[in-house]
Amino acid sequence: MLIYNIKRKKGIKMSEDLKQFYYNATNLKNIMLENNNIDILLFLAKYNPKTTKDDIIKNFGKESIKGLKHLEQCHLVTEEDNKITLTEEGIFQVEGLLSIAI
Amino acid sequence: MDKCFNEIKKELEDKIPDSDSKDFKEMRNKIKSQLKKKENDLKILIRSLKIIIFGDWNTIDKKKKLEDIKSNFIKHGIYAQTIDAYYDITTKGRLSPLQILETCCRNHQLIVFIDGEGPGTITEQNYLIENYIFQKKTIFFIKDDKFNELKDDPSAYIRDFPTILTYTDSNILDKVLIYSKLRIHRLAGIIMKQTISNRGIKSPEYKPWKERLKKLKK
Repeated sequence: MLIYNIKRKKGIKMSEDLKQFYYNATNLKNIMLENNNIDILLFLAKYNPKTTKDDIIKNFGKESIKGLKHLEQCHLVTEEDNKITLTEEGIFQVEGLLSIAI
Repeated sequence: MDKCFNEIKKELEDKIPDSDSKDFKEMRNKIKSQLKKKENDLKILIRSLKIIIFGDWNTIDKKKKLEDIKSNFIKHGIYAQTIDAYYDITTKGRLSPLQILETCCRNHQLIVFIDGEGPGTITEQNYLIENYIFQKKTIFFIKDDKFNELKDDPSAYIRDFPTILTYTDSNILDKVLIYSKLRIHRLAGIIMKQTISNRGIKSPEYKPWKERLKKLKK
């Protein structure tokens, strides 16, 4: 993605990793509030690593796949061979969610 | 998975009710309502910021020291990693040591550097000295008595670190936590302000770390 500085007429390329970090950091709350994402995170914290993508669809519907993708982009979950796993960051964030609610 | 996170995961398994229970839905609703409150924005943001800890890990005792520092951060709600996590070449795709260093420095928001003499630590030190754009996000911790030996020598390597803090064996955990926590909170506050004011990364003047590093190498 190129952002043009109109004054200098110069293109500055945003590094994907930092752009992603900024997006994740400031939108993390919104992503967690989306659809069934909190349910998914709690479900994975409870049952993972025995959770598959099919389990997620079965419990939360096909529309939960979009939420799952966003959670992956935020590095909270990872998918490999149809298995969905909470990352260390995901575990850490779920712990944080429980601490603000309990 | 790291031992700390395994323990947290086990606790979560115990605390979270079965997914088909009423208690699960109640927990979810409570989390949702708390998450919507503005006062919790900062807490969530702080938990997404990451610290990398550099230091000697070439003996069991030294590795334990770094792991204790890491565990202390995690226990106090701050995400931290030690660099050895990146040396697991079976999962990290065989990055070279230099690539690992660059990845760590770019992807972590705070570098906690514990002074040491191991060859890996010297490499990390030299990397930070050469790539001084990362020095702003580094806190350099050095033992009290060693600092006293070096402080009057302006050619000593420590001069290359703008933020130097001394510690003793008895206070290292507290000191590292206190000062790192302040920096993380400061950064979180800046991110929140920039989100509102459209500055920082959203500004067209902003130069990403990769760009700044390239310029430095020219």
